[in-house]
Amino acid sequence: MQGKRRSIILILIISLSVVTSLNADSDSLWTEINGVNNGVSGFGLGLFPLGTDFEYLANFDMIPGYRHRALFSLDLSFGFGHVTLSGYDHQTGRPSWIDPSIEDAFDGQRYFRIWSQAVVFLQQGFGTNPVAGTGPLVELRLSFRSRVSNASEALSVSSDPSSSVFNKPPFDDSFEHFPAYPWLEGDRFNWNNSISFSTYWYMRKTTTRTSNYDGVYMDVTLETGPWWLGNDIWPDVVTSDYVKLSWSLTEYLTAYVSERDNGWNWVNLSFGHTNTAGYIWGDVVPEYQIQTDRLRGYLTDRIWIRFTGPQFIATDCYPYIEVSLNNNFYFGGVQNEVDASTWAMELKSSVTFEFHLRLFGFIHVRYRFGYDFIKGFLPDVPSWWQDAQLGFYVSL
Amino acid sequence: MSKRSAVILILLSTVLAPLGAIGFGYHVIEARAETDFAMGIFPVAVNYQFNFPVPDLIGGSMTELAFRLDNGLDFRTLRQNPEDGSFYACTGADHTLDYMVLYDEFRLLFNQGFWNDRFTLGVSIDGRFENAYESIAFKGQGDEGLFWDPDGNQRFDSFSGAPELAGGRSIFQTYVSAELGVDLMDDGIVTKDGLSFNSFFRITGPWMPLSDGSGDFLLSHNSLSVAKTLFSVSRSSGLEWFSVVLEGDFTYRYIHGSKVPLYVQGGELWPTWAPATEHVFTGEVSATFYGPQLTADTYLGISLFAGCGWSLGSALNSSQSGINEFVSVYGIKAELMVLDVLSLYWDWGFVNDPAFNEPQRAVSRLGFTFGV
Repeated sequence: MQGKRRSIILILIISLSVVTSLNADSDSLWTEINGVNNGVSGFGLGLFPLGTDFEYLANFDMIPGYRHRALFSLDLSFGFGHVTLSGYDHQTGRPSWIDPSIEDAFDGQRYFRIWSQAVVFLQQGFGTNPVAGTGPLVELRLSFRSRVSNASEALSVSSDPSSSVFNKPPFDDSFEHFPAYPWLEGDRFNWNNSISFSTYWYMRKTTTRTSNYDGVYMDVTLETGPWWLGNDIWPDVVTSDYVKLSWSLTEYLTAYVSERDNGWNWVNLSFGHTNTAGYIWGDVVPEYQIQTDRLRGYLTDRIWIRFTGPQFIATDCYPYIEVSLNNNFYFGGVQNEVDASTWAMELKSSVTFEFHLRLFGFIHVRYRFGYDFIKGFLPDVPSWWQDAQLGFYVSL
Repeated sequence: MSKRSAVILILLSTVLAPLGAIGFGYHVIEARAETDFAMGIFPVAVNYQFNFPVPDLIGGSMTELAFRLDNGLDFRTLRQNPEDGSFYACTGADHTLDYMVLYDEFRLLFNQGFWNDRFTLGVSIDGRFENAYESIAFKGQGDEGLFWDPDGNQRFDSFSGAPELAGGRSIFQTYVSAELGVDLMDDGIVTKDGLSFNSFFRITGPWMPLSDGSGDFLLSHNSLSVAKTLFSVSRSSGLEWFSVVLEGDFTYRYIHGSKVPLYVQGGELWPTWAPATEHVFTGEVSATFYGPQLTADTYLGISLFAGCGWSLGSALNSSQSGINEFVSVYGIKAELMVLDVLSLYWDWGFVNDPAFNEPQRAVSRLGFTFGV
């Protein structure tokens, strides 16, 4: 029954993709690679990518004669990497940060994860953006996601078999339920499906050639991955059963623009402010929906200042520097805790400095560092951190 | 200078050298799925190419300077005992032979076409990382793996028969490669007439810069494709209602070396394999029914095929010599190509003359590939 349901879902995805693609204008179908994950230390000298994202997009007329065309997308992505298990009791889901008596022998142990997913969505715009005077005011999107993942031995297991989290109870091959880690149930091969409905609101206009705006942007998404959508691997084991509501609101202001004689930018100065909020309900939350410290709710506030320019060589070659102040408040029950007895809240605050370099529209280099001065449940010792990423974003 | 620093320097030079010019190109050659992972529905590997802006040196023929990156997972079967190189198909094995490889291969290549690209010559500097894991079916202690027995002990003490699996099951090799191509094929997607030929050479050894010494071989891989459209019925739109095409693909692979990694050994002949010896010949002939063409690049194809392989000489990574082994297969393949981007396929094959002592068997697979 389970296999039949998944086959039906896949046949629907493929049929919808083929039919929609054949009905699209031939010149409006293109391919976009919108991200390549950063390499990780330990493989390929940490220099080469471990994941890629493809997106096929097709415009077509869903409402005959309407000024906004519909958009169909089939997004395929995959990736690999190590996952570190954190301190949650595998049977009760109780966190070690609320009950220090919980001794989780697997805290800090790693496993190797392969994941791949397909996302299809249908989108239609309505109204007119009142600030730009063109483009839709709101876009409505209906999405379906099917995601598979597998957990296996970690990279370092070749030199030390005892380092594999799956060579020890309870995660060895003795069958046991793991409510805190539903994605490690059974054969640790996971297949989750979810659907979502989103609205995107545009009340902003472009002010420069380097992605600066004036105005407001907002989105709201309701997503669910219920058990009946192919998320029950056995009659008594469910790997996903949740509902998530999320919201974001951003205000933009371009304060200063300086242009060269050829219309290219010397330097821009812009400000922005973003709030996000969300909450996730449900007894079984899959791995890709686990939130910070597993708390169900979040409310964030971010304010930034950005210096952009100059453009050089080509219009799509430019650097920008961004400084932001971030305050993140997490609250609510603990995801995948069986008795739902824990309720907690925490605040994390940081200042972040980012340097970005965009080259020829498809190379994006990012280096950033930050200072965490309030660290939530972690020992409240302020600390510096840094990371870097190289990405490729291409439209054909 | 450390190996990491040297590779960073090479990559930065590759990317930054042409910054003074405008017109980078970039395309996906192929994305692959594996039938062992989620029924072959989801992709796990991609091969993509960055084209640097260079002028055509010969009018009417393409000059290509490119950086190619192939990245992903590969699901493999170990055919030879890693400790002595003997073929499991002769001696048998008491454990699984499947394993999984995470790989990255990069190539900095230069190709020049001649006579309207009917003839092509190319050279490249290449590198490849690999790390081998147990298969995704392996779940930990108590389970049957290739590298680990159910008690959690390492199964093999030495890896002379599979040098890329020694130590931490990790390699980094660099190569020099050259390629020659002849294209006299009139390829109308669902009608084909003519022939094409490709010859690929690759060499590496401990003397190659940055290489970790896990590979030492000289490879020559040669392939010939011929096709003839037996008949076709055209629509008024210029598309074909259907066509029948007779095709033949033939390869000869020669390897000489003391450390030959599995990925380069060749001998693929779905749904079986030709043993990895110095000389391997494979051939497949097929009759394909195409049609109808829904658009110029959306169509259905169903093929009946028969193939054979012939392995001669010494076994690779082994002292076993004097091998003379023949294998043969036949079956049917069905493919739905959508917009020349997405290919959905279902194949069924029967191995009527397997290698050594393997039994006859039937195999089927379902999956997709896509590329632009």
